[in-house]
Amino acid sequence: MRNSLSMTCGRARRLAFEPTRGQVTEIERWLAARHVAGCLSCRAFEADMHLLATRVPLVGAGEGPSPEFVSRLRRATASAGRGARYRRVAAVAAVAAAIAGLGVLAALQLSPDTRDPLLVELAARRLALLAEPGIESADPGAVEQWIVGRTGLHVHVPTFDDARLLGATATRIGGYPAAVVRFQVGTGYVAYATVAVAEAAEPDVTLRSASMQGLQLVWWHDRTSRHVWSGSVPADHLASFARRCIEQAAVVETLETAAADGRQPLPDHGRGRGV
Amino acid sequence: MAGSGVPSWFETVLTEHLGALYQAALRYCRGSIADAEDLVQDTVLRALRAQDQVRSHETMRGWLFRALTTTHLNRVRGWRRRGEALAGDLGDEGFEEALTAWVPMAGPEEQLLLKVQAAEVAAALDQLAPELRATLWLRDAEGFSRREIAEMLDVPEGTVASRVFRARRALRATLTASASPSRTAAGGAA
Repeated sequence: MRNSLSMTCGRARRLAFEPTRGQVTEIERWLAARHVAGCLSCRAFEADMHLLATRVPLVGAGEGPSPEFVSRLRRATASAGRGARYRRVAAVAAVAAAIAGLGVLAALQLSPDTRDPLLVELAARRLALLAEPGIESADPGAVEQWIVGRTGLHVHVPTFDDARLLGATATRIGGYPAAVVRFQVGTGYVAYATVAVAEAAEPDVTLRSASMQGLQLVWWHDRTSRHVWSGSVPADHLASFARRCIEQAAVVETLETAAADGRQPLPDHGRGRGV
Repeated sequence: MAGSGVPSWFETVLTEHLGALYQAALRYCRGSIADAEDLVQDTVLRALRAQDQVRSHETMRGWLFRALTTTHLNRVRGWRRRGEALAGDLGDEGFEEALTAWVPMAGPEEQLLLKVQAAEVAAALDQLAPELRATLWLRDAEGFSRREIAEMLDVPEGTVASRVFRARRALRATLTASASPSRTAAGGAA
Protein backbone atom coordinates (compact mmCIF):
# COMPACT_ATOMS: atom_id res chain seq x y z
CA MET A 1 0.00 0.00 0.00
CA ARG A 2 1.31 3.42 -0.87
CA ASN A 3 -0.08 6.46 0.77
CA SER A 4 2.13 9.03 -0.78
CA LEU A 5 0.70 11.30 -3.40
CA SER A 6 3.07 9.91 -6.02
CA MET A 7 1.89 7.39 -8.58
CA THR A 8 4.20 5.71 -11.05
CA CYS A 9 3.21 4.52 -14.51
CA GLY A 10 3.88 0.92 -13.47
CA ARG A 11 1.67 1.19 -10.41
CA ALA A 12 -1.14 2.89 -12.28
CA ARG A 13 -1.06 0.29 -15.03
CA ARG A 14 -1.00 -2.50 -12.53
CA LEU A 15 -4.11 -1.14 -10.88
CA ALA A 16 -5.70 -1.12 -14.32
CA PHE A 17 -4.92 -4.83 -14.55
CA GLU A 18 -5.76 -5.75 -10.97
CA PRO A 19 -8.28 -3.19 -9.77
CA THR A 20 -9.36 -5.35 -6.87
CA ARG A 21 -5.98 -6.56 -5.73
CA GLY A 22 -5.11 -6.38 -2.08
CA GLN A 23 -5.50 -3.30 0.01
CA VAL A 24 -6.11 -0.68 -2.62
CA THR A 25 -7.39 2.44 -0.98
CA GLU A 26 -9.79 4.93 -2.47
CA ILE A 27 -6.96 7.45 -2.42
CA GLU A 28 -4.80 5.14 -4.46
CA ARG A 29 -7.58 4.55 -6.98
CA TRP A 30 -8.07 8.28 -7.29
CA LEU A 31 -4.35 8.85 -7.68
CA ALA A 32 -4.16 6.20 -10.39
CA ALA A 33 -7.10 7.66 -12.29
CA ARG A 34 -5.60 11.12 -12.03
CA HIS A 35 -2.23 9.82 -13.20
CA VAL A 36 -3.67 8.09 -16.25
CA ALA A 37 -5.75 11.13 -17.16
CA GLY A 38 -2.62 13.22 -17.29
CA CYS A 39 -0.19 10.66 -18.70
CA LEU A 40 -0.12 10.21 -22.47
CA SER A 41 1.92 7.06 -22.15
CA CYS A 42 -0.53 5.38 -19.76
CA ARG A 43 -3.50 6.38 -21.89
CA ALA A 44 -1.77 4.83 -24.87
CA PHE A 45 -1.10 1.72 -22.79
CA GLU A 46 -4.78 1.37 -21.96
CA ALA A 47 -5.73 1.86 -25.60
CA ASP A 48 -3.19 -0.76 -26.67
CA MET A 49 -4.49 -3.26 -24.14
CA HIS A 50 -8.04 -2.64 -25.30
CA LEU A 51 -7.07 -3.15 -28.92
CA LEU A 52 -5.19 -6.35 -28.17
CA ALA A 53 -8.10 -7.67 -26.13
CA THR A 54 -10.32 -7.36 -29.18
CA ARG A 55 -8.05 -9.59 -31.29
CA VAL A 56 -8.53 -12.90 -29.52
CA PRO A 57 -12.33 -13.14 -29.87
CA LEU A 58 -11.82 -13.01 -33.65
CA VAL A 59 -10.53 -16.54 -33.48
CA GLY A 60 -12.99 -19.36 -33.42
CA ALA A 61 -15.97 -17.58 -34.91
CA GLY A 62 -17.77 -20.15 -37.01
CA GLU A 63 -15.61 -23.03 -35.77
CA GLY A 64 -18.22 -25.32 -34.30
CA PRO A 65 -18.02 -29.01 -33.53
CA SER A 66 -18.86 -31.28 -36.42
CA PRO A 67 -22.23 -33.08 -36.43
CA GLU A 68 -20.34 -36.38 -36.31
CA PHE A 69 -18.57 -35.34 -33.14
CA VAL A 70 -21.78 -34.12 -31.54
CA SER A 71 -23.42 -37.47 -32.34
CA ARG A 72 -20.47 -39.32 -30.90
CA LEU A 73 -20.57 -37.18 -27.78
CA ARG A 74 -24.27 -37.81 -27.32
CA ARG A 75 -23.73 -41.53 -27.59
CA ALA A 76 -20.89 -41.32 -25.09
CA THR A 77 -22.91 -39.31 -22.59
CA ALA A 78 -25.91 -41.58 -23.04
CA SER A 79 -23.73 -44.57 -22.39
CA ALA A 80 -22.15 -42.93 -19.36
CA GLY A 81 -25.58 -41.93 -18.13
CA ARG A 82 -26.64 -45.55 -18.05
CA GLY A 83 -23.67 -46.25 -15.89
CA ALA A 84 -22.24 -48.39 -18.62
CA ARG A 85 -18.63 -48.42 -19.52
CA TYR A 86 -17.94 -45.97 -22.29
CA ARG A 87 -15.68 -48.22 -24.29
CA ARG A 88 -15.65 -51.90 -24.86
CA VAL A 89 -12.58 -53.40 -23.33
CA ALA A 90 -11.56 -55.15 -26.49
CA ALA A 91 -8.03 -55.82 -25.38
CA VAL A 92 -9.14 -58.26 -22.70
CA ALA A 93 -11.82 -60.07 -24.64
CA ALA A 94 -9.64 -63.05 -25.31
CA VAL A 95 -8.57 -63.21 -21.70
CA ALA A 96 -12.17 -63.06 -20.58
CA ALA A 97 -13.01 -65.97 -22.83
CA ALA A 98 -10.07 -67.90 -21.53
CA ILE A 99 -11.13 -67.26 -17.94
CA ALA A 100 -14.63 -68.43 -18.70
CA GLY A 101 -13.16 -71.62 -20.13
CA LEU A 102 -10.73 -72.25 -17.34
CA GLY A 103 -13.07 -71.23 -14.59
CA VAL A 104 -10.17 -70.21 -12.44
CA LEU A 105 -7.07 -68.17 -12.83
CA ALA A 106 -3.87 -70.04 -13.19
CA ALA A 107 -1.32 -70.00 -10.45
CA LEU A 108 1.59 -67.64 -10.30
CA GLN A 109 4.66 -69.03 -11.97
CA LEU A 110 8.09 -67.79 -11.11
CA SER A 111 10.31 -66.92 -14.05
CA PRO A 112 13.50 -65.81 -12.35
CA ASP A 113 15.70 -65.61 -15.38
CA THR A 114 13.61 -63.86 -17.96
CA ARG A 115 15.38 -62.04 -20.75
CA ASP A 116 12.20 -60.75 -22.31
CA PRO A 117 13.27 -57.41 -23.86
CA LEU A 118 9.91 -55.77 -23.14
CA LEU A 119 10.20 -56.57 -19.46
CA VAL A 120 13.82 -55.53 -19.32
CA GLU A 121 12.98 -52.19 -20.89
CA LEU A 122 9.97 -51.72 -18.65
CA ALA A 123 12.05 -52.37 -15.55
CA ALA A 124 14.83 -50.09 -16.73
CA ARG A 125 12.46 -47.25 -17.54
CA ARG A 126 10.04 -47.66 -14.68
CA LEU A 127 11.02 -44.57 -12.73
CA ALA A 128 11.12 -42.48 -15.88
CA LEU A 129 7.71 -43.82 -16.89
CA LEU A 130 6.27 -42.83 -13.53
CA ALA A 131 7.45 -39.28 -14.12
CA GLU A 132 6.41 -38.94 -17.76
CA PRO A 133 3.65 -36.49 -18.64
CA GLY A 134 0.22 -37.92 -19.02
CA ILE A 135 -3.19 -37.73 -17.42
CA GLU A 136 -3.48 -37.15 -13.71
CA SER A 137 -6.84 -38.45 -12.61
CA ALA A 138 -8.41 -40.80 -10.09
CA ASP A 139 -11.31 -41.40 -12.44
CA PRO A 140 -10.88 -44.77 -14.20
CA GLY A 141 -13.26 -43.83 -17.01
CA ALA A 142 -11.42 -40.62 -17.73
CA VAL A 143 -8.09 -42.45 -17.73
CA GLU A 144 -9.42 -45.11 -20.10
CA GLN A 145 -10.74 -42.50 -22.50
CA TRP A 146 -7.49 -40.59 -22.36
CA ILE A 147 -5.52 -43.75 -23.13
CA VAL A 148 -7.67 -44.70 -26.07
CA GLY A 149 -7.42 -41.16 -27.39
CA ARG A 150 -3.64 -41.20 -27.14
CA THR A 151 -2.76 -44.74 -28.08
CA GLY A 152 -5.83 -46.42 -29.53
CA LEU A 153 -5.53 -49.04 -26.78
CA HIS A 154 -8.70 -50.06 -24.98
CA VAL A 155 -7.27 -50.64 -21.56
CA HIS A 156 -9.35 -51.68 -18.60
CA VAL A 157 -8.36 -49.49 -15.66
CA PRO A 158 -9.26 -51.45 -12.54
CA THR A 159 -10.40 -50.09 -9.21
CA PHE A 160 -9.09 -51.30 -5.88
CA ASP A 161 -9.81 -50.64 -2.26
CA ASP A 162 -6.14 -50.93 -1.40
CA ALA A 163 -4.64 -48.84 -4.20
CA ARG A 164 -5.36 -45.33 -5.38
CA LEU A 165 -5.44 -44.54 -9.07
CA LEU A 166 -3.10 -41.64 -9.89
CA GLY A 167 -3.25 -41.44 -13.66
CA ALA A 168 -1.55 -42.79 -16.72
CA THR A 169 0.95 -42.06 -19.41
CA ALA A 170 1.14 -43.03 -23.06
CA THR A 171 4.46 -44.18 -24.37
CA ARG A 172 6.20 -46.80 -26.50
CA ILE A 173 7.84 -49.85 -25.05
CA GLY A 174 9.93 -52.04 -27.28
CA GLY A 175 8.74 -49.85 -30.13
CA TYR A 176 5.10 -50.75 -29.50
CA PRO A 177 2.34 -48.39 -28.35
CA ALA A 178 1.87 -48.73 -24.62
CA ALA A 179 -0.07 -47.26 -21.75
CA VAL A 180 1.16 -47.22 -18.17
CA VAL A 181 -1.44 -46.75 -15.44
CA ARG A 182 -0.13 -45.62 -12.06
CA PHE A 183 -1.43 -46.48 -8.62
CA GLN A 184 -0.36 -45.54 -5.15
CA VAL A 185 -0.17 -48.36 -2.64
CA GLY A 186 0.58 -47.13 0.84
CA THR A 187 3.65 -45.00 0.42
CA GLY A 188 4.79 -46.78 -2.73
CA TYR A 189 3.67 -47.11 -6.30
CA VAL A 190 2.66 -49.85 -8.67
CA ALA A 191 2.28 -49.54 -12.40
CA TYR A 192 0.09 -51.45 -14.83
CA ALA A 193 1.47 -51.43 -18.36
CA THR A 194 -0.36 -52.61 -21.45
CA VAL A 195 1.85 -53.04 -24.49
CA ALA A 196 0.21 -53.57 -27.89
CA VAL A 197 2.58 -56.14 -29.30
CA ALA A 198 2.14 -56.66 -33.01
CA GLU A 199 2.31 -60.43 -32.99
CA ALA A 200 -0.94 -62.25 -32.34
CA ALA A 201 -0.64 -65.00 -29.78
CA GLU A 202 -2.89 -67.44 -28.01
CA PRO A 203 -4.17 -65.81 -24.83
CA ASP A 204 -2.49 -67.07 -21.71
CA VAL A 205 -3.74 -65.99 -18.32
CA THR A 206 -0.97 -67.75 -16.49
CA LEU A 207 0.55 -65.11 -14.29
CA ARG A 208 4.29 -65.11 -14.52
CA SER A 209 6.56 -63.35 -12.12
CA ALA A 210 10.14 -62.15 -12.04
CA SER A 211 12.33 -59.82 -10.08
CA MET A 212 14.40 -57.37 -12.03
CA GLN A 213 16.55 -54.49 -10.79
CA GLY A 214 14.85 -54.58 -7.40
CA LEU A 215 11.46 -54.51 -9.05
CA GLN A 216 8.79 -57.18 -9.00
CA LEU A 217 7.04 -57.90 -12.27
CA VAL A 218 3.90 -59.93 -12.91
CA TRP A 219 2.58 -60.40 -16.42
CA TRP A 220 0.27 -62.26 -18.75
CA HIS A 221 -0.83 -61.75 -22.31
CA ASP A 222 -3.88 -61.86 -24.47
CA ARG A 223 -4.11 -62.11 -28.22
CA THR A 224 -2.63 -58.71 -28.99
CA SER A 225 -1.28 -57.21 -25.79
CA ARG A 226 1.17 -57.86 -23.01
CA HIS A 227 -0.03 -56.84 -19.56
CA VAL A 228 2.57 -56.17 -16.89
CA TRP A 229 2.19 -55.12 -13.28
CA SER A 230 5.33 -53.81 -11.67
CA GLY A 231 6.24 -52.38 -8.33
CA SER A 232 8.42 -52.63 -5.29
CA VAL A 233 5.92 -54.77 -3.45
CA PRO A 234 5.90 -58.54 -2.82
CA ALA A 235 5.14 -60.66 -5.88
CA ASP A 236 1.99 -62.09 -4.26
CA HIS A 237 0.64 -58.62 -3.69
CA LEU A 238 1.36 -57.66 -7.26
CA ALA A 239 -0.26 -60.85 -8.49
CA SER A 240 -3.31 -59.98 -6.46
CA PHE A 241 -3.64 -56.73 -8.41
CA ALA A 242 -3.19 -58.60 -11.67
CA ARG A 243 -5.86 -61.20 -10.79
CA ARG A 244 -8.39 -58.60 -9.76
CA CYS A 245 -7.61 -56.60 -12.88
CA ILE A 246 -8.35 -59.62 -15.09
CA GLU A 247 -11.49 -60.48 -13.14
CA GLN A 248 -12.89 -56.97 -13.35
CA ALA A 249 -12.16 -56.75 -17.05
CA ALA A 250 -13.86 -60.08 -17.62
CA VAL A 251 -16.95 -59.00 -15.70
CA VAL A 252 -17.19 -55.76 -17.64
CA GLU A 253 -16.70 -57.58 -20.93
CA THR A 254 -19.40 -60.10 -20.11
CA LEU A 255 -21.86 -57.40 -19.12
CA GLU A 256 -21.16 -55.35 -22.21
CA THR A 257 -21.46 -58.28 -24.50
CA ALA A 258 -24.76 -59.24 -22.88
CA ALA A 259 -26.04 -55.69 -23.17
CA ALA A 260 -24.95 -55.47 -26.79
CA ASP A 261 -26.78 -58.71 -27.51
CA GLY A 262 -29.87 -57.41 -25.73
CA ARG A 263 -29.86 -60.34 -23.36
CA GLN A 264 -29.84 -58.31 -20.19
CA PRO A 265 -29.73 -54.67 -19.25
CA LEU A 266 -26.56 -53.14 -17.95
CA PRO A 267 -26.59 -52.71 -14.23
CA ASP A 268 -26.55 -49.33 -12.57
CA HIS A 269 -22.90 -49.86 -11.75
CA GLY A 270 -21.14 -50.92 -14.88
CA ARG A 271 -17.75 -50.52 -13.29
CA GLY A 272 -16.53 -53.11 -10.90
CA ARG A 273 -15.67 -51.88 -7.43
CA GLY A 274 -12.68 -53.03 -5.51
CA VAL A 275 -12.88 -56.72 -5.24
CA MET B 1 -31.40 -38.22 -25.06
CA ALA B 2 -34.64 -38.78 -23.28
CA GLY B 3 -34.63 -42.09 -21.53
CA SER B 4 -30.91 -42.46 -21.92
CA GLY B 5 -30.22 -41.75 -18.28
CA VAL B 6 -28.69 -38.35 -19.01
CA PRO B 7 -30.56 -35.71 -17.02
CA SER B 8 -32.42 -33.11 -19.03
CA TRP B 9 -30.62 -30.23 -17.32
CA PHE B 10 -27.38 -31.64 -18.59
CA GLU B 11 -28.68 -31.75 -22.13
CA THR B 12 -29.69 -28.10 -21.89
CA VAL B 13 -26.39 -27.00 -20.51
CA LEU B 14 -24.49 -29.04 -23.04
CA THR B 15 -26.39 -27.41 -25.86
CA GLU B 16 -25.59 -23.99 -24.44
CA HIS B 17 -21.89 -24.45 -23.84
CA LEU B 18 -20.65 -27.04 -26.29
CA GLY B 19 -19.75 -24.53 -28.99
CA ALA B 20 -17.67 -22.37 -26.66
CA LEU B 21 -15.99 -25.37 -25.10
CA TYR B 22 -15.09 -26.72 -28.49
CA GLN B 23 -13.63 -23.41 -29.64
CA ALA B 24 -11.54 -23.13 -26.50
CA ALA B 25 -10.37 -26.72 -26.85
CA LEU B 26 -9.48 -26.18 -30.48
CA ARG B 27 -7.32 -23.21 -29.55
CA TYR B 28 -5.78 -24.93 -26.53
CA CYS B 29 -4.85 -27.81 -28.83
CA ARG B 30 -3.47 -25.43 -31.46
CA GLY B 31 -6.06 -26.27 -34.06
CA SER B 32 -5.90 -30.06 -33.77
CA ILE B 33 -9.49 -31.20 -34.24
CA ALA B 34 -8.84 -34.73 -32.96
CA ASP B 35 -7.20 -33.47 -29.77
CA ALA B 36 -9.91 -30.85 -29.27
CA GLU B 37 -12.67 -33.41 -29.62
CA ASP B 38 -10.87 -35.70 -27.21
CA LEU B 39 -10.52 -32.87 -24.70
CA VAL B 40 -14.15 -31.80 -24.96
CA GLN B 41 -15.38 -35.35 -24.61
CA ASP B 42 -13.27 -35.90 -21.50
CA THR B 43 -14.60 -32.67 -20.03
CA VAL B 44 -18.24 -33.43 -20.77
CA LEU B 45 -17.99 -36.93 -19.35
CA ARG B 46 -16.31 -35.57 -16.24
CA ALA B 47 -19.16 -33.13 -15.85
CA LEU B 48 -21.68 -35.91 -16.18
CA ARG B 49 -19.94 -37.95 -13.52
CA ALA B 50 -19.67 -34.94 -11.25
CA GLN B 51 -23.22 -33.79 -11.83
CA ASP B 52 -23.90 -33.47 -8.13
CA GLN B 53 -21.16 -30.85 -7.93
CA VAL B 54 -22.18 -28.92 -10.99
CA ARG B 55 -25.95 -29.08 -10.92
CA SER B 56 -26.28 -25.34 -10.47
CA HIS B 57 -26.90 -23.79 -13.82
CA GLU B 58 -25.09 -20.60 -12.80
CA THR B 59 -21.88 -22.36 -11.91
CA MET B 60 -21.94 -24.83 -14.78
CA ARG B 61 -20.13 -22.64 -17.29
CA GLY B 62 -17.26 -21.93 -14.93
CA TRP B 63 -17.05 -25.56 -13.90
CA LEU B 64 -16.90 -26.75 -17.50
CA PHE B 65 -14.17 -24.32 -18.47
CA ARG B 66 -12.23 -25.11 -15.35
CA ALA B 67 -12.42 -28.81 -16.15
CA LEU B 68 -11.48 -28.21 -19.76
CA THR B 69 -8.53 -25.99 -18.89
CA THR B 70 -7.11 -28.04 -16.07
CA THR B 71 -7.50 -31.27 -18.03
CA HIS B 72 -5.61 -29.71 -20.91
CA LEU B 73 -2.88 -28.21 -18.77
CA ASN B 74 -2.46 -31.43 -16.84
CA ARG B 75 -1.91 -33.20 -20.12
CA VAL B 76 0.60 -30.80 -21.53
CA ARG B 77 2.59 -30.28 -18.38
CA GLY B 78 2.38 -33.77 -16.98
CA TRP B 79 2.86 -34.02 -13.28
CA ARG B 80 3.25 -30.35 -12.56
CA ARG B 81 0.64 -29.29 -10.09
CA ARG B 82 -2.05 -26.79 -10.71
CA GLY B 83 -1.08 -23.50 -9.14
CA GLU B 84 2.60 -24.15 -9.59
CA ALA B 85 4.43 -21.07 -10.79
CA LEU B 86 5.13 -20.89 -14.48
CA ALA B 87 8.65 -20.02 -15.52
CA GLY B 88 8.51 -16.32 -16.21
CA ASP B 89 5.63 -15.56 -13.85
CA LEU B 90 6.23 -12.06 -12.60
CA GLY B 91 6.41 -10.99 -9.00
CA ASP B 92 4.97 -7.68 -7.85
CA GLU B 93 8.00 -5.59 -8.73
CA GLY B 94 8.75 -7.43 -11.93
CA PHE B 95 5.20 -6.97 -13.11
CA GLU B 96 5.25 -3.23 -12.51
CA GLU B 97 8.58 -2.97 -14.27
CA ALA B 98 7.24 -4.86 -17.26
CA LEU B 99 4.17 -2.64 -17.37
CA THR B 100 6.34 0.45 -17.21
CA ALA B 101 8.51 -0.85 -20.02
CA TRP B 102 5.56 -1.11 -22.40
CA VAL B 103 6.26 1.02 -25.45
CA PRO B 104 2.99 2.36 -26.83
CA MET B 105 2.14 1.37 -30.34
CA ALA B 106 3.46 3.67 -32.98
CA GLY B 107 0.14 5.25 -33.79
CA PRO B 108 -2.41 4.11 -36.36
CA GLU B 109 0.23 2.47 -38.49
CA GLU B 110 1.11 -0.21 -35.98
CA GLN B 111 -2.46 -0.49 -34.78
CA LEU B 112 -3.46 -1.25 -38.35
CA LEU B 113 -0.96 -4.08 -38.41
CA LEU B 114 -2.91 -5.73 -35.63
CA LYS B 115 -6.16 -5.64 -37.57
CA VAL B 116 -5.37 -8.95 -39.15
CA GLN B 117 -7.43 -11.98 -40.03
CA ALA B 118 -8.54 -14.56 -37.49
CA ALA B 119 -6.17 -17.15 -38.93
CA GLU B 120 -3.18 -14.94 -38.20
CA VAL B 121 -4.35 -14.29 -34.66
CA ALA B 122 -4.86 -18.03 -34.20
CA ALA B 123 -1.34 -18.69 -35.44
CA ALA B 124 0.02 -16.12 -33.00
CA LEU B 125 -1.94 -17.65 -30.14
CA ASP B 126 -0.52 -21.05 -31.01
CA GLN B 127 2.95 -19.74 -30.29
CA LEU B 128 2.13 -18.86 -26.69
CA ALA B 129 2.97 -21.16 -23.80
CA PRO B 130 -0.08 -23.30 -22.91
CA GLU B 131 -0.72 -21.48 -19.62
CA LEU B 132 -0.54 -18.06 -21.28
CA ARG B 133 -2.76 -19.18 -24.16
CA ALA B 134 -5.39 -20.62 -21.83
CA THR B 135 -5.35 -17.60 -19.55
CA LEU B 136 -5.68 -15.16 -22.42
CA TRP B 137 -8.47 -17.19 -24.00
CA LEU B 138 -10.45 -17.36 -20.77
CA ARG B 139 -10.04 -13.61 -20.26
CA ASP B 140 -10.42 -12.15 -23.73
CA ALA B 141 -12.54 -14.68 -25.58
CA GLU B 142 -14.72 -15.98 -22.75
CA GLY B 143 -14.72 -12.88 -20.59
CA PHE B 144 -14.07 -14.60 -17.28
CA SER B 145 -12.92 -12.25 -14.54
CA ARG B 146 -9.42 -12.40 -13.15
CA ARG B 147 -10.85 -13.79 -9.94
CA GLU B 148 -12.69 -16.57 -11.77
CA ILE B 149 -9.61 -17.49 -13.76
CA ALA B 150 -7.47 -17.42 -10.62
CA GLU B 151 -9.85 -19.90 -9.00
CA MET B 152 -9.86 -22.10 -12.09
CA LEU B 153 -6.08 -22.24 -12.31
CA ASP B 154 -5.49 -22.10 -8.57
CA VAL B 155 -3.10 -19.17 -8.85
CA PRO B 156 -3.20 -15.67 -7.35
CA GLU B 157 -5.11 -12.96 -9.21
CA GLY B 158 -1.86 -11.10 -9.69
CA THR B 159 -0.45 -14.06 -11.57
CA VAL B 160 -3.49 -14.09 -13.85
CA ALA B 161 -3.00 -10.38 -14.51
CA SER B 162 0.67 -10.76 -15.31
CA ARG B 163 -0.03 -13.74 -17.59
CA VAL B 164 -2.68 -11.81 -19.49
CA PHE B 165 -0.23 -8.95 -19.91
CA ARG B 166 2.60 -11.20 -21.02
CA ALA B 167 0.31 -13.00 -23.44
CA ARG B 168 -0.87 -9.75 -25.01
CA ARG B 169 2.67 -8.48 -25.21
CA ALA B 170 3.76 -11.62 -27.03
CA LEU B 171 0.70 -11.50 -29.26
CA ARG B 172 1.52 -7.96 -30.27
CA ALA B 173 5.10 -8.86 -31.03
CA THR B 174 4.11 -11.84 -33.17
CA LEU B 175 1.35 -10.08 -35.06
CA THR B 176 3.34 -6.98 -35.85
CA ALA B 177 6.37 -9.03 -36.82
CA SER B 178 4.36 -11.29 -39.11
CA ALA B 179 2.49 -8.38 -40.67
CA SER B 180 5.68 -6.47 -41.26
CA PRO B 181 8.72 -8.74 -41.15
CA SER B 182 11.17 -5.88 -41.38
CA ARG B 183 9.77 -4.33 -38.28
CA THR B 184 10.73 -5.24 -34.75
CA ALA B 185 7.74 -5.05 -32.47
CA ALA B 186 8.13 -2.72 -29.56
CA GLY B 187 7.62 -4.34 -26.21
CA GLY B 188 9.17 -7.64 -27.21
CA ALA B 189 7.91 -11.14 -26.79
CA ALA B 190 7.22 -12.74 -23.47
